[in-house]
Amino acid sequence: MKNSFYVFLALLGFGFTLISCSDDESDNTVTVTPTMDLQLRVGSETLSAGNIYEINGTALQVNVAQFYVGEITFTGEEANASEDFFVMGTNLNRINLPATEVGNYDLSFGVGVNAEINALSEDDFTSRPTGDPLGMQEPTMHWNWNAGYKFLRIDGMVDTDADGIPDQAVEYHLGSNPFYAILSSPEQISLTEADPAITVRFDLAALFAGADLSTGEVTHVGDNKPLADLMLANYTEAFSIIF
Amino acid sequence: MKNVICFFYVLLFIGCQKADDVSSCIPVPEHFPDITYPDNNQPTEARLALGKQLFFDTQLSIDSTISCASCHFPEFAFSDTIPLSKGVNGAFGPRNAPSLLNAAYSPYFNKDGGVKKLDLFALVPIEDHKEMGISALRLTKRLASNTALQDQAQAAYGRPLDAFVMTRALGIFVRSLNSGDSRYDAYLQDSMALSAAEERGRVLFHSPRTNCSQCHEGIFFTNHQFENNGALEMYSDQGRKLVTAKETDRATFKVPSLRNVAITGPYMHNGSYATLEEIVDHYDQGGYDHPNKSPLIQPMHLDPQEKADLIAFLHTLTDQRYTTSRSEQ
Repeated sequence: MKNSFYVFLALLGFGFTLISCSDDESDNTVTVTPTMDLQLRVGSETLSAGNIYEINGTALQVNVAQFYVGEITFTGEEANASEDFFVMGTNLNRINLPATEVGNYDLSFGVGVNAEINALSEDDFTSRPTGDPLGMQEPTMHWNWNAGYKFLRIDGMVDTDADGIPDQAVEYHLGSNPFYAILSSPEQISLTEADPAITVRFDLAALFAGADLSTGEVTHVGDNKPLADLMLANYTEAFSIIF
Repeated sequence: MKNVICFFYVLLFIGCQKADDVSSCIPVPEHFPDITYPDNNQPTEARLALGKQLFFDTQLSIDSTISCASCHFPEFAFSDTIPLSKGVNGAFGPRNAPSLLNAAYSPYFNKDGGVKKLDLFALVPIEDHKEMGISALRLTKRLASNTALQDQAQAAYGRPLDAFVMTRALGIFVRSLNSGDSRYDAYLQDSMALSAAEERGRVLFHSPRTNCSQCHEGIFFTNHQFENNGALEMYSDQGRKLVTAKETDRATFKVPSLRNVAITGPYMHNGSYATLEEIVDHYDQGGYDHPNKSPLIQPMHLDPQEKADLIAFLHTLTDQRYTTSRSEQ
């Protein structure tokens, strides 16, 4: 019986040790609330709504430039994925992300919304509350004539007669499941207490690389798939992480 | 049977007798399938009344000049009488306004099938800048101070008049517009005989000589598929390709129901055919060539009597309840 008591004390002491170690580990954990900041660019210029830029030799006035960003995932020893989607662009250039431990991570994020949300099941953009990025937006980020969301929306005017003055309204709207793109950082990002911000650069000039905007052609995917495909292929150059 | 249907129809327009009772709110002809409702939009008297109110309300357009009924006239089976309907700011809609009757049974909406939910269908004309031209969000703000509509919305859905409520209420109203009380329906139920010409037309319609019923099949006279029927030599409208991005869908459009076809002209996706006679002549000649034209569209070589018989049969598909204006209803 006496021996049993000593064994019990020994186990109790070992248990305290384990609990104590565990507490020490959690005390060392530092979490931060990262932000994702968006830099809007047209080449080396800052992109602002209403301004005119020259892209591939054609004057383009940009009135709306926005897109969905979501499923932002930090992958370190474990993956920390956000299921949220946000509208970023000329109206919103900073979003707050879920708390994440400091450290080095591979970063990936989606441009658009995933197939589950885009399916517009019984709950769709009309049934979501005001302020929900997946709810009704102004300018709209849903397609009324087609099922689903506009993943990326660029509206403006282009110069079609080479006088340098934009004269024709244009829309470049990408959507539908094949146009949901997951982009990954080519190298690890470092989240620190001092710098928990991630900066993503969106370059409109890179998005339209290889496109002749002077024709005034538009795309809503189905009506001009070649231009939509070109823009999608340009995503990897148009979106970049700033280190 | 016809009297029974009429009785239900009267009930529809004077209001349902019992809230939350599906059968009393939206009666369905006995020979029609039941209507399926989403869980979040079951029909009630209050929802139907709100949907009807909104359907005729010009506040739903940017300049408050156009309502749904401006292009979907009740007396023309809820269709328009001109090729392309006039929208706000003098613009014209992109396609001929279709009849809304029996839309409850369609698996998708728009002539290209882009909209998959009837409860979202109303957003197309409301937000299209060539039709009503106002975003649903802006419309919600506009109607926020309309006490009467807000009260109706609360009574119907227990929430303010937002985009959800507007689209759902309009969806309920459109589902109520079922049409199954034509002379042909009476013929199907052995309560009326067709005339000799109508019967000859019916047989011809269903014969392999015309192939009409290959696409315009079943109780709703549509197979709900997308076809090119050689209506035009050149198409500016890409049709279903807008949705699928497939070349094989270029210039294909939803096969429309032929119910009430005698009062829903002009015809084709762009309203370019004015009369049933023009339509029958078109199919008789086999239409224009197109890479995606249905192989079923072939010259028929009908004689004048056969053409007249076909048209006589098509007139039997008219539901007389939808030939009067709203006030008469």
